[in-house]
Amino acid sequence: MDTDPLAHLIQRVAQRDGAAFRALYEASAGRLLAIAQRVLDDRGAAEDVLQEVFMALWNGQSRIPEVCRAPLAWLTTLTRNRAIDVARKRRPELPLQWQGEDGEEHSFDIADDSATPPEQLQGAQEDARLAHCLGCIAEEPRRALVLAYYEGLTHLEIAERLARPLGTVKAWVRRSLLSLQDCLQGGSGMAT
Amino acid sequence: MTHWSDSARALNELASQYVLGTLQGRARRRFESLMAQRPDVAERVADWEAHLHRMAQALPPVVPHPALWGKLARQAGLPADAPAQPADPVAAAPAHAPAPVPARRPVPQQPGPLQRLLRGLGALLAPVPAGALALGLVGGLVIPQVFQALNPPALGDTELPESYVGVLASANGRPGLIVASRRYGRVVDLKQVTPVTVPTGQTLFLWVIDAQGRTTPVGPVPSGPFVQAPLADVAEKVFASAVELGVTLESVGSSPTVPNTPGDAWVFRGLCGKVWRVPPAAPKPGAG
Repeated sequence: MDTDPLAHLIQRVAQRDGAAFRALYEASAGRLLAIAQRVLDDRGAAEDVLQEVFMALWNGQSRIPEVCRAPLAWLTTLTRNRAIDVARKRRPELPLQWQGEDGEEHSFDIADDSATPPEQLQGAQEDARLAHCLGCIAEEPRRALVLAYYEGLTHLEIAERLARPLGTVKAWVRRSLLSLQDCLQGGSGMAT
Repeated sequence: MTHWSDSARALNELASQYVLGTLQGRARRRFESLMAQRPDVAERVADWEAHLHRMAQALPPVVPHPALWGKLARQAGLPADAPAQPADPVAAAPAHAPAPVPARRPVPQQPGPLQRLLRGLGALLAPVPAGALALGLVGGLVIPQVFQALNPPALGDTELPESYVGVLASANGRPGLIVASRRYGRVVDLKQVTPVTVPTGQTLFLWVIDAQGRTTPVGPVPSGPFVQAPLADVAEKVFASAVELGVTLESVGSSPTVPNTPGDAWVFRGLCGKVWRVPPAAPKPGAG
């Protein structure tokens, strides 16, 4: 961690170093805003999250852990967790799918015309190993995983979105994560 | 039977669900407290952060609105055009290449001027004899000397940003509270040297005391070893008339919300000084 320039910046921000604060913002805000916006689907709310994350670093409420191999990954976790908290508070209590009095099935789910994250991944080929590892996971479990990561959905929400039993979704997510771990750890020889 | 916290497999799965965000509520809080106590658990979380971070990096960076930095700078009490310390352009780096660490000059881990000042003041104040007035006077006299001893400034400049600094004693004359705020900042930092217990339903409340002994409310401040509170206006306006600062206990939720006069007793009170060089007064025409 000590050799990572971002780690030094984060430590200096906790010491109220204004120049380090600006430098950390310039170095990471674009990436962090991207994930917050993806989870919240709301630019203004995502910028609010970013503001909270940076002020928590400045005020010493978020301190970089001793074990931190990738400071940008840690910052991403902070940002994503905060965005997920905000998203979960905003979500209506109504289920995404329900049965009306006439017995008809209704759904709040609206098709998104933009490319899905896996499509973006596959299309951009920005991280060949990740795309490969995700590609090794069966389609529905992979969908469950990307819904959890990119939209911050809970197991229950994923089950409602995919119209699958909760237990099945939990098992999919668990197996997808383990498969991803195995592939990423074992695939050092793969193209990157 | 093995407890879940002793099972490597269970911990790995929990770490993955924690980083993914599917661990919720009490389970998440229990896992966070375990992570704080167990380096091996923190290691697993760090591993998962690195794995799943690749998914975040698949997203193209989004340029924040230019006003966002201005908001942050204001909140942090910094000038909006604060220069950035040179950093590696992480945001502009290719998405798949975050791991290699570019060689650069390591940033020395030194405490900032304020930390050095507070540390120095803490050491100097420790043996000061009891007596609020004595402490306040010593604090007021010592502050500029401490600055010069710790940070010999260039002529016409101080290393610490222009700031208001108060050194307050507790009711029994012990070193009590150090208060600091940048001259144009909108927050105030408070370091409690002597902890105080705040009864339920009450809050610490900061006051400005001017040369005539008149009090002006600043606002409620949290209790804690090192806390920060927002100011209603820039420090230059809030503390301009301050010769002393005082802290009382006030009721939470009382009416009016901001009390007009301080409560019964000062919890902390002491001198407040402006830590910047004031240009010497111009000689009067015809003088000398």
